[in-house]
Amino acid sequence: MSNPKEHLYQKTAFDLVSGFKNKQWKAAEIAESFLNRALDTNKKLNSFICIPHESILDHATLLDEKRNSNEDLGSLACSPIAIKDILCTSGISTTCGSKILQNFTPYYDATVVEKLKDKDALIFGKTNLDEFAMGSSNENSFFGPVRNPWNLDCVAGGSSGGSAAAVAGQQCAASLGSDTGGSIRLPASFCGVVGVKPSYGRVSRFGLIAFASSLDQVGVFTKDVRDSALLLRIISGQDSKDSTSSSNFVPHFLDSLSIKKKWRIGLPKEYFQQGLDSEVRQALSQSISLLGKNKFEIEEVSLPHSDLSIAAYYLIATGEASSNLSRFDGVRYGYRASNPKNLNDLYKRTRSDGFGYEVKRRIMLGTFALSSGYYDAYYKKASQVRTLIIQDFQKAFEKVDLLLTPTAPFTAFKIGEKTKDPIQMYLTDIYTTAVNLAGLPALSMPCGFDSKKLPIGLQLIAPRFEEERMFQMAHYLEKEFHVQNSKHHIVL
Amino acid sequence: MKFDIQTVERIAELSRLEFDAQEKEILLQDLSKILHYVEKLEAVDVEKIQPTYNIIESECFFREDQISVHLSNDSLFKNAPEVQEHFVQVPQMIASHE
Repeated sequence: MSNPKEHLYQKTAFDLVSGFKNKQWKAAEIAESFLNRALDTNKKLNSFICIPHESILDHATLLDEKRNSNEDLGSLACSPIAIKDILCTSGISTTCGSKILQNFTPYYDATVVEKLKDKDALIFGKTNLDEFAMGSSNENSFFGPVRNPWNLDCVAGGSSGGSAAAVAGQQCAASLGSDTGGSIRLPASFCGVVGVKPSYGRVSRFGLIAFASSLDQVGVFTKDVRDSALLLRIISGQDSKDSTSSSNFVPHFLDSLSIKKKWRIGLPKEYFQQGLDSEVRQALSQSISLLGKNKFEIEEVSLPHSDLSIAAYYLIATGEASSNLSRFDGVRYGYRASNPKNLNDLYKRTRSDGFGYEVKRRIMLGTFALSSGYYDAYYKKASQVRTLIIQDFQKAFEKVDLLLTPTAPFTAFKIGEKTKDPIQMYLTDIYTTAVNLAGLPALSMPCGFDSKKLPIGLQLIAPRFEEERMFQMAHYLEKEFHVQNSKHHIVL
Repeated sequence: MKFDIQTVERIAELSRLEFDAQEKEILLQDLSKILHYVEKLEAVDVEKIQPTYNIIESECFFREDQISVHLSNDSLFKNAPEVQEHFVQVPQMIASHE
């Protein structure tokens, strides 16, 4: 029996799908419940850039008709899923949180969006983000910062802050994000939801507006591990429109959630050193001792080049970004500066007016790292260090099956607290960027709260294409954490 | 390595970006700070290490050369800021010498 006081918007995607298919609720009821919740709370959270109210209701009507005429329903039937506004949605504006794409409406769907639609998901609007996914706090959006549902004075984390806050704030059942250096896991950690960054190549990047092509990967935000397993399988798989997507077998993550063996857990010692907040450390220690009590083999491992990952990451990511973002020139789409003197003036003024400061700073850094005379010392050197980081992980995974680390060195910080110092802001990603450099899958899940009642994130890292064991471990931990986490609630 | 206002100006030109004097000053400070931070890579011996530019091991795959989605000209031009008939308009590129 479901709790009569429970609102539909509190439910997971899995429960909504089964309730809808079993005729417990109509699609219209589900859509209305989430729409009321989202419209009501968005003033506080600023998590959505666009909620296409009418098309959501129209789609719900179609789903009700489909069900009434006993047509086959997809495995996400009527689950409201929000999309980070860096993924193209046909007929719905896609801004990248930037003035330069403020009026851009794609004429095609990203492959991942198409896949959700194929399974009858309700595409529930576009979520706020750091401009072009560049940021760790979601303070770099043209549309203003996203606020953390647990404390409105705090950041939601970035760059997929809107997608994380929307799930935590129960404005949608689940959401898609993108992760280039931690942009799913970090906001998942700060907002207390499950966030999954799949292996590089697992999910098609077609229709994901590129930031750093060798690092970008689309992933999911959900209320629990089961929903992540459900969603990730649907969006995974090779795509003829993305040559980097992998033909690797996609397991049925949902059916294989129960733990198959006592996975050996590695604790990278570099991730537990100076700079880790004491309350985060304590929550992690509790999780680790819990696993120890349950007879999991736990071993300290070393990733000796961890300290170099932020430096390598920012050179590689900005180098790739400076090239990817050269397409925004005011010619074929997006913002165009008025009364240009000539073509060069058009490019310069369009880009200077259209991009925000952080994006411009990164284009400058990346252009410098790739420029003649500096390429070897910066971009190439960083790419060599990347190889060392990959080798570190390979060696660690010879000994253990999974790595367990904090997702971030601290919990959500105050809005404005780190905007003055780029290095302090970049160091927020200290435990997440190496995973992207190595193309590994990783997941962040809540493992407790600090004394400020802010969620603490735990990260699991698996070898490439071994998401299955990562989900199993996360599912196991989630059951163990359940009591501890249910003490706190979001009030919006 | 010397990173000064002239470097900021040169990189801005390559990036097709423009900044006023105050912005250049802020960029100089920020970028100097970031470059100072990434200097920690210098100490690493990578002489025998191959760079990784992409994580995928597999060869490029091919797809059937078939027409899949038909896009109309109208939909393609819908996002262009200035259009004349089926052309994107840009400022004059070749100066006249009359």
